[in-house]
Amino acid sequence: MAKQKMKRNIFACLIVLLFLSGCWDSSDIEDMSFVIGFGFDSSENEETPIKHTTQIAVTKKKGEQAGAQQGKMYQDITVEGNSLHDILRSISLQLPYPVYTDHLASIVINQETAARYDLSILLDQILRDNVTRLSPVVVLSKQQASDVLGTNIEGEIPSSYIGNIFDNKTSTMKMLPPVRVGDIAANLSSHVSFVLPNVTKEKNTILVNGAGVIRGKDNKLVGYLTDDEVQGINWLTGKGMGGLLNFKDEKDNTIIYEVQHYKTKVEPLYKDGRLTFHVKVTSQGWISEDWSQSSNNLSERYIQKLEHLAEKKVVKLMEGTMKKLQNEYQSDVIEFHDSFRISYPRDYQEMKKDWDKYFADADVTYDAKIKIINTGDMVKD
Amino acid sequence: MKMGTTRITTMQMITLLSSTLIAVGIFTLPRTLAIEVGTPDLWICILIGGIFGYLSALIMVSLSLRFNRLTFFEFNKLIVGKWVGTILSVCFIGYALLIGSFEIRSMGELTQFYLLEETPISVILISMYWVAMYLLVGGINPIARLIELLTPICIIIFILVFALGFKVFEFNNLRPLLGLGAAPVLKGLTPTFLTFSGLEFLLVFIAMMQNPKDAKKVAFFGLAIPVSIYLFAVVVITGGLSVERMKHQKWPTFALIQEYEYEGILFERFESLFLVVWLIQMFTTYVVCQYVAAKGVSTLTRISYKKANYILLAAVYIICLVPKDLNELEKMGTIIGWTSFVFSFIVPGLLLLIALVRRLKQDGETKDET
Amino acid sequence: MGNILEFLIRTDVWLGTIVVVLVPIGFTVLSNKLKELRKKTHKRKEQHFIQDFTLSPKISVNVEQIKAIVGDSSDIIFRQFKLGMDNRSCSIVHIDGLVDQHLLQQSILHPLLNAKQAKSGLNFFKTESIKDYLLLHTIEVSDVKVVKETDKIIRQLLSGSVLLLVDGLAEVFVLSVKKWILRGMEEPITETLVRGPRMGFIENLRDNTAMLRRMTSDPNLTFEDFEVGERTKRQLTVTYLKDIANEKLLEEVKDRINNLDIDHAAETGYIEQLIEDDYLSIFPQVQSTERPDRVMAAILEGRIAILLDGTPYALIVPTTFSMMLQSPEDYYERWIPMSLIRMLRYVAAFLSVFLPSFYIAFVSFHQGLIPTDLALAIAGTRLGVPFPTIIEALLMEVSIELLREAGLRLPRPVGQTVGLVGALIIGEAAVQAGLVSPIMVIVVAATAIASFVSPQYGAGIALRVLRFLAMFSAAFLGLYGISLFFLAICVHTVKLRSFGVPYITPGTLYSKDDWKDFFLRMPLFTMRKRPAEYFPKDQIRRKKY
Repeated sequence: MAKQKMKRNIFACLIVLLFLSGCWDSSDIEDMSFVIGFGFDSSENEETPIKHTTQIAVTKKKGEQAGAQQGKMYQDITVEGNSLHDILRSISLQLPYPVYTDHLASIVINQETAARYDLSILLDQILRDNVTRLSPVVVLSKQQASDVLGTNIEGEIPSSYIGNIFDNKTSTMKMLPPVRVGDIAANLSSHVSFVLPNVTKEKNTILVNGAGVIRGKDNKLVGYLTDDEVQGINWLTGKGMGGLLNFKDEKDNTIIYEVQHYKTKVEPLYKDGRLTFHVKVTSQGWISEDWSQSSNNLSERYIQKLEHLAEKKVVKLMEGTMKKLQNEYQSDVIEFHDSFRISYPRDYQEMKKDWDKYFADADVTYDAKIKIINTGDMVKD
Repeated sequence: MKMGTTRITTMQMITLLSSTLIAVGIFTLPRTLAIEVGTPDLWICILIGGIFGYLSALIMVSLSLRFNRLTFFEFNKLIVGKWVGTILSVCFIGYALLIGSFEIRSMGELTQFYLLEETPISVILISMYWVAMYLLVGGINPIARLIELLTPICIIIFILVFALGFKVFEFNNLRPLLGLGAAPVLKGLTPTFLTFSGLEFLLVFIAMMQNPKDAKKVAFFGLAIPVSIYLFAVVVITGGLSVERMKHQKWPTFALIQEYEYEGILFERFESLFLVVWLIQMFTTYVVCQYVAAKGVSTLTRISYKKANYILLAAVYIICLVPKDLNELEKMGTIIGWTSFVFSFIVPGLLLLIALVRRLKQDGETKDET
Repeated sequence: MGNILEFLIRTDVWLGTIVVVLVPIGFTVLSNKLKELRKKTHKRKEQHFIQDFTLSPKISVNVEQIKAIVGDSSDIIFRQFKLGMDNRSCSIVHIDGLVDQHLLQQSILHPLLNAKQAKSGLNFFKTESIKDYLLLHTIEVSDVKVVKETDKIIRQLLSGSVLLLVDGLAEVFVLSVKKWILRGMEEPITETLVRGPRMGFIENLRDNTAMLRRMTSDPNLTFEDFEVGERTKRQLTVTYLKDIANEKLLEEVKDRINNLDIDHAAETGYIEQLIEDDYLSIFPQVQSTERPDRVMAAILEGRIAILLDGTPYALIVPTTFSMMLQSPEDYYERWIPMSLIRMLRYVAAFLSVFLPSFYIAFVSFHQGLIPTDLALAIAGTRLGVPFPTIIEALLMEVSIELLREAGLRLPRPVGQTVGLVGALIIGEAAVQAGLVSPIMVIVVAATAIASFVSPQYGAGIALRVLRFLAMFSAAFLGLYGISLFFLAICVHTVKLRSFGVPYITPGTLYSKDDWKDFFLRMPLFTMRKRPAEYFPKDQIRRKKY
């Protein structure tokens, strides 16, 4: 009986021990620094080529919410180093709580840095990390990333502000769909070219304008696209979520066509080593602004005329973008390779490696069909 | 007192078989397939793999039905004699233990990677083993009931999580169909078939069924459910991520779930919800494996079923610590796959052939087990 | 070879192996020991609480004997008188307060005192024939027994019957004119319904059986009586429908009741604990109710009810988990709203167990799982709280339980005050003092509300206990701990049986038809069959589908 009791006691001890030593991963939520944004700049120092800015959300103390609105909502820490993980750990030297990157919202990369370093190296740690999600948006900036992250916006953290701007993608064609870390991961590793949106710091806001082209060959930034060229990209890929098309009639009156939905179809043709793409765009939309006061909205001829003008404008936008992509950057950022892969899977296997070169040499024809289904509530006469 | 049957009902058997087959494959299969196949035709592999699986299941069913109410451990002696039979049984037990420890170890690794970074893996494993043990000592009926209870919930959550994936689904990623011909598809057959290891347990469970006549139905539905789940998963993952990305993502399934984010819902990230559900699936697979092994040990030796469980628990724990890292774990998975091929095609095929030639058959005897 | 050895002597390997095996063995041994405890029997001499004596024809001897046994209790009344027709000595013994005095005067004393000799035969009053005469002509009470066994006589006397002793007769008339103070029939306060009969059982067994009898004229309704309590001999009635209840089940119930060993059963709770399958389980394996309509519905499904004298609570066996979340009202109202409400109850039950543990897991393990804004908000509110989340949660949960318990025991007006004060203290002061975060208060309050939803009190208690276990496992291993705990509960419930029926039926698709009355309450016409889980003899409820 005594032996029995002894056994029982030993079991009890084991269990208690287990529970006492437990909770390895437990750490309270207020005792951690939530990282909201990353910024990459290059530094002049040879030893520590990366200048990395970490944006940490400041947790508001309760009862001071009103007061905190005026104060800074975030804290920026800039550290130089030669490895991202090393930098993240050295931040711990100056923060009371460990950094926690699970809530990362955006990554800002300085254009110069992006042109100098292979992006897959820069972002390697983020892609490997088990805690960081694949959802933070990646943007470029002409200014220093640390400056962009330091923008003073009333009651907002700049990095989440950047992430939120992309929610507006339905209302403008001048904005690329947000590019998330997960999206570029595969592009980087399989050396496919892609575009990254660009942001600029204004006085009290951050502005999304233009885009940078990352060439697949070396994963470096090769050039910059303007707002109009971004529109062309959106028309070419069919991935925009809607927006406006601004064109002029023969008398130079501004007319705004609002895209309700549009579809882009790319038909590749590969014959005798000659690569041709036929881009077909169809769109439906409204006329939402018309400065030509004299016209008659209801006449079918007038609408046809507008449709024709709009079509011409779309083709012009696409042509402009295409010219730059083919001649200047030689990068297929508009996923023509995808449609080619579907149509010519075997040929693509061989051409995959030098795709950007084949793309640059390809002929492209355009065909836009725009339908105006509504001219708004106003009837002019 | 017990009311009702003490055998496994057809419904229970279907859920038991399908939840044995649905396991860690959902995380590893998409990437393995993407690397092997390289074209968007991954899903065809799964269909073909499923058909092959059904064929082997049919062999096992007809073999089992020849020996009414006898498990694999009992009837193999009748066919090939005592010695060879015992060797086969021991191998089968070892194989079951291997799958069981593989599942638990993978579960532990996933949990450590995504949920509990600092916690020692042995703590994760041991706590799971204890819960499993509590279930195992109760015999087959509680196991069957638990699986019957949990599998529908798991399937519903699974479908929900993947249906949300349609937000990022792009049909172009699935095109072209057979663009590079059928050759790549054939390359993908091996990993697919290996995912369906566990089918061999039919050889043991048919003997415990309430209506062994339904065994063909069980084999069909028990396979159809996992096959359609894998199919659905692979189609959605391919559509959402593209083959190119699947190759580079360690766990494409999680990558897909991370791709879409429905903000505002309390769980912004479904991957953990999904992982928690999948823990249950891996748990059930392990429990079934260990049950088969313990049953085998208690049939072969005089050790009682309960004691066999305790002994095998130690064995399983040691086996699952053998792989040093994830790569070795994957190697272990491949070994399991090939063993599975032996036990689901070659062994039952040969046994059936010998049984047919020797005209061995045994029926009429209804022995009570469980 | 060396590798293998090296691997085997790694500390985590061998220590882990020992731990992983020994702990389950230890638990199995322990639980087997505990289960054996219940079966242990101590030998003891057969006890007799009433001394046997033999009735003699002499009345004075009998009266003395009775007096010796029941003692000189003040409430026992001995009344001696002479029979009206032949001056024979008679004696009436009864207990004051258990007898209808008016009836006693009118139908017993009066006719006996005024009895006149019948015209026929002079020698009528031979000792043997006086018995028949009294029975046939004099006593104006319907329930009359002539009893010889002395212990039975005493039991009858003590339970309110009137004893009539007649000189020269070695037998005793036991006359039933029972009447005592009873509570009136009220609506059961623990199971109030918006719609449904306002009837509840009361403390008198006969009235309870009468209530059931009034609900049906089905001759198959059977009441089978047992006596429980070795010393107090309470009357217990097993109720079932003869042609529906499964015989094996009935046999089992009777068996368990016959085998139960206790000196006094004060309430059906005693019976419940003595006949349940697994006394180590936290789940109630027997359903208790005050509602006759609920009992009736249950026995119509093929289940068996147990009534005990002296308590308004009836037991229903077998019981499954889904019973704990069902209310008779589900069937009284229309099916669509009631199906939704029933699903709500399942959600509430889940929340009342898991909500605080999810909070703990998210806040101290998986901060990445909550949306950024919410994470920052929670972090803000927790700023300055001195305790880790688990302590904070325990603090709040324990105080809620304290409040609930305090409010339950106090008189109703005071109880409300306690609730109010408690709410103020916990809700306001604790947050003000920075002891707990306001979000924790919300979580705890939501949990408390969810736990009030359970229509069965016993089920609610079980869920409350589980909540604390869930919180510990969440604090130990986060979400993984919660899912392990959930698995453990599932394993426990699949292993548990209540009178042979698996506890989670119909969760295990035992029969597809039973799902019509599980999460949903399908329209009545679809429930053509009785639940298969109880194996009723008569399976079909009605003709049409």
